[in-house]
Amino acid sequence: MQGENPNPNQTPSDNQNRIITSQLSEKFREARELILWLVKTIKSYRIYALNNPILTRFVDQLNQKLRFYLKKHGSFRFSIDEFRFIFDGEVIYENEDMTESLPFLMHRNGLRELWFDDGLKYKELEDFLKTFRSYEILKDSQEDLVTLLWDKEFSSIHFWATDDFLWAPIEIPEKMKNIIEKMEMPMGEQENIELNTLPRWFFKSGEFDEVKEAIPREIEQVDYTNLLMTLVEVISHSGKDCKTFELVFDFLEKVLDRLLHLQDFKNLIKILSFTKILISDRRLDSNEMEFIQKITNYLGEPGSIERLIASLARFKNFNHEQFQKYLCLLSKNAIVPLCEAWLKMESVEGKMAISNALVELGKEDIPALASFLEDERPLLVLNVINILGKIGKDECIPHIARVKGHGDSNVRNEGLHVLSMFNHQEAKALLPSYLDDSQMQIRINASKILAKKLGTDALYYLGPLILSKEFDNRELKERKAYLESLGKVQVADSVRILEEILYRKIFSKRAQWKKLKSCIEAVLVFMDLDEAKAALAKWKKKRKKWFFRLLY
Amino acid sequence: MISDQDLYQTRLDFVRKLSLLIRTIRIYNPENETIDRHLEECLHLISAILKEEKRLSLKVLMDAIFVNEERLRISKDSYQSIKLIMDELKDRMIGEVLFRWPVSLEDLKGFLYLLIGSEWGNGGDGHPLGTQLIKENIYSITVKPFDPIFIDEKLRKKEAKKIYFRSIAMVKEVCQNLLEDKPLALRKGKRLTQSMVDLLLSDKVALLGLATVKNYDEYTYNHSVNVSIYSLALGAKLGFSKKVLAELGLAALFHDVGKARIPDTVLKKPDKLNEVEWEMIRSHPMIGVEEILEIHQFAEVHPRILFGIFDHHLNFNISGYPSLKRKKKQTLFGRIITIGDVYDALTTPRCYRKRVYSPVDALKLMWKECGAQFDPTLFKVFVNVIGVYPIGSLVQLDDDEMGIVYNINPDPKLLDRPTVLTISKEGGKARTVNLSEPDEKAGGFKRSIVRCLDPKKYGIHVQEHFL
Repeated sequence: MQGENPNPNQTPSDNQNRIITSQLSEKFREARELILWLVKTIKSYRIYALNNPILTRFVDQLNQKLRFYLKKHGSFRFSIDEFRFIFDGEVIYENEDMTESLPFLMHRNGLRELWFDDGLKYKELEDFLKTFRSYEILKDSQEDLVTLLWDKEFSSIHFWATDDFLWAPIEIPEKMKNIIEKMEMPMGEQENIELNTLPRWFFKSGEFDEVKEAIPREIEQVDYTNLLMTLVEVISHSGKDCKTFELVFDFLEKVLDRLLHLQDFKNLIKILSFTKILISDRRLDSNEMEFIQKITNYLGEPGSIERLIASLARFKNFNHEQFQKYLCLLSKNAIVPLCEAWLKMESVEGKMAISNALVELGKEDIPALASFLEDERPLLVLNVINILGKIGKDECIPHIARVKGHGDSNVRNEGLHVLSMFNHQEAKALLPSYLDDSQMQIRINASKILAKKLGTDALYYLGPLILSKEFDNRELKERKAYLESLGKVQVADSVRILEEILYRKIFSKRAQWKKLKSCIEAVLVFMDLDEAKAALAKWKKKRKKWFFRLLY
Repeated sequence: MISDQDLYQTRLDFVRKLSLLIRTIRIYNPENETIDRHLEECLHLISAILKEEKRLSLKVLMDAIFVNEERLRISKDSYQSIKLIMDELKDRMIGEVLFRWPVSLEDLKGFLYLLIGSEWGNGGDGHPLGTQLIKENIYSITVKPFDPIFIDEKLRKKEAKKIYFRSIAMVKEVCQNLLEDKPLALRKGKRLTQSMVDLLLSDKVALLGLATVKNYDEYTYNHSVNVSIYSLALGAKLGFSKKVLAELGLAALFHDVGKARIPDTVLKKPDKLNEVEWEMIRSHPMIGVEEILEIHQFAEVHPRILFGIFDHHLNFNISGYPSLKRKKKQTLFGRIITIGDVYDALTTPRCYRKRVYSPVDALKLMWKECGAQFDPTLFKVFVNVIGVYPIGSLVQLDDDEMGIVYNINPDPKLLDRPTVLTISKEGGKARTVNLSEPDEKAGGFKRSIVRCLDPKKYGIHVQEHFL
């Protein structure tokens, strides 16, 4: 309706005013929606894991809305009050809950104004949002939000931050006379400098580029070996000053915590490896020695291990190889927390890395590891038995023996298997006791292991048992297994026992006995003994006779 | 509808009235009738513009004032008013003032008193003006900060001065707090270093020029800030990120913090130090580290900062102090700070040294120590940063005119051809001359440096040109 005034009583100026107001309110509405998305997304960044799809959806939406707004209006700018965001002089968002208010968080950190310019890239927005996550994670280390934002060097995101001290009045001398008048000493005068007399002051062509390339390598990575040496020097110079010792260690503790949080295994390995080198230095005084030992102890403490595991849970794709290498360098105090960590670790590779490290660390303190054999969590006990087996030291045997009476049959079974890995007489002596286990499968396994590990001696345990009356009452499966085990003991006495059963007269359970005798036949076939062959031939002949007798 | 010409006149009248109002408020007490009269007149003009244009924006860009995006022409009559408004806003880093309908008399009065009572855009109680306005429930008037890209050289220089002297005050406060066992405010240091980095990356000269200020009385504080500036300039040349630069700046700012524990009688002793006193001096990097570790209880301190403090007297070949039980490399931060530290120390008058080295002499002396005390590569970078004739050097030109080196030549092959601020011996007006300007007729360059001069001998206060 171009050129027509819909309301004749309305003046053109009023109409114009209405249009401007509606335009303004539309802009305000758009800005408010944007603010709400920004708040939601930042909140999500503080809650969800980085790989959570919800987070990606939030960022995508925010990015879309911001781009649309910036294209339309050029920039999005708002001020930050204690609990409010203010846009164009009006409150656009308010949250007075100090625990979760974004305006409060920003205001407390000194942020007073924030603006986004057209040309904002997705990556930049993502980095901006991640900063709030980093702040959340690092806030215990007193890192401030302004520094974290400033460090990022954003090109389309700007902020205005203040600190009261920056606005406090400062005395600036307009004239420097007072200062200059003190400079009474003469300065030497110098004839002009011929540049060609000082060629070495300047870089040859390309030399500076080389320097610029080399320098970042030195600056990007903190030299933790150098840091450790510096701190040891401070400890060394401070003598018996306990306060300095505590201060130095407190500093290092925070450095280590940060490395743990970042899962920087490379540098943690560097630090621990260097402590091992330092410990072998004969010049170490008692203070220095205590300091170095404190480092390895600290990393092995439950708190440090828990922090690391929590951090690993957040970022699932970690370097398992480096993780294991690092754990292996810890001291024995890490055994107990690592056992607990093993249970919490979700990744199979992670669990394996911890177990492998426990094998190494456990060698130093078997009782600490073995203390978990009394644990109520069978999975953990199983793993500890396994680790003790891998350690393979004879002193593990009495500990493993303790699980013989464990309530969980899997644990007892694992104990049996692990014991079978030892060649020590003590372990061998423990094996027969498993023939009395309440679980059939364990007894079966024990019979097999006995035959394998004890050889002829197994006959001493298996023979009387197989020939006992009680044995006849056992399940066929078990009896067959025992006979097979007996067959593996390749001696004439085994053949004799087998023959004895083979020729035993049967009055009941004929079908079972038939199967059992077939099993003995099979066992004899596989026995590599002349006596077995002869016994089998004799038995076959006798069976033939019986067969003909039955026929005729 | 009023004509464009009338509209322009109303805008100009508004600026004039605002300027008059500011002057009046400064003179009279708040109850004075004159203020109320001017306020009403100014409000009348504001309302007229808002009624006509629905918005009123007063913006400062470079050296011009814009009302509703229209630049006000500076005439003989309007110059004073425009200049006053421009200075008032620039001084407070305010880039734009927005008036929204309806503006009340109380809002306008409240705004003006807050503006006048503020420094750098902050209200009376130390908060930025924008926040202060909201606190006072003034929503019809809002302010926006000055956009950094429009900050001109003069303003940058002013900002540089504030940052410089604030940093000195901060180092002084840190040292005094140390002696009183008060906690140290690292956040303050961080903010100032961040400001220094921002400034250095936009205008190196403003800060390097200020490093020519050598305060004999408060040597340690002044020296710490100067070393921080030199280190930052060197780090920036090496392409450090802003994050690393801020760490370097902070390490340099605190590199001598350990000296706070050494008595003045030793630090300012004009005679030769005895062995005990030397031992005290040699202990300052170690004490510095301990002090920083103390700060670390309250705030995050990056290991690099620790390196800077511990290593700054270690020397490139580890011949310095503190003496080490086991050999270790001098870190990059340590190597950088060593160069800045020695250069500033040599060019600053000291109680125990009869001679102050000219910037050039200091570089020559330092060159002799390259490989032993200094990293030769970093020394070369340093020369590239400050030039063969460093900023602040007083030089004699081949036409007998004197000049103060004001900016170095960015071309590494023309490091001996800086920009100088000429000073005629008769005290004529200074002007900047680029010594790399070729002489097209005769070949070569139009003007060259003949020699370095002693400013004291000619009564020239080099520092004043950077302040």
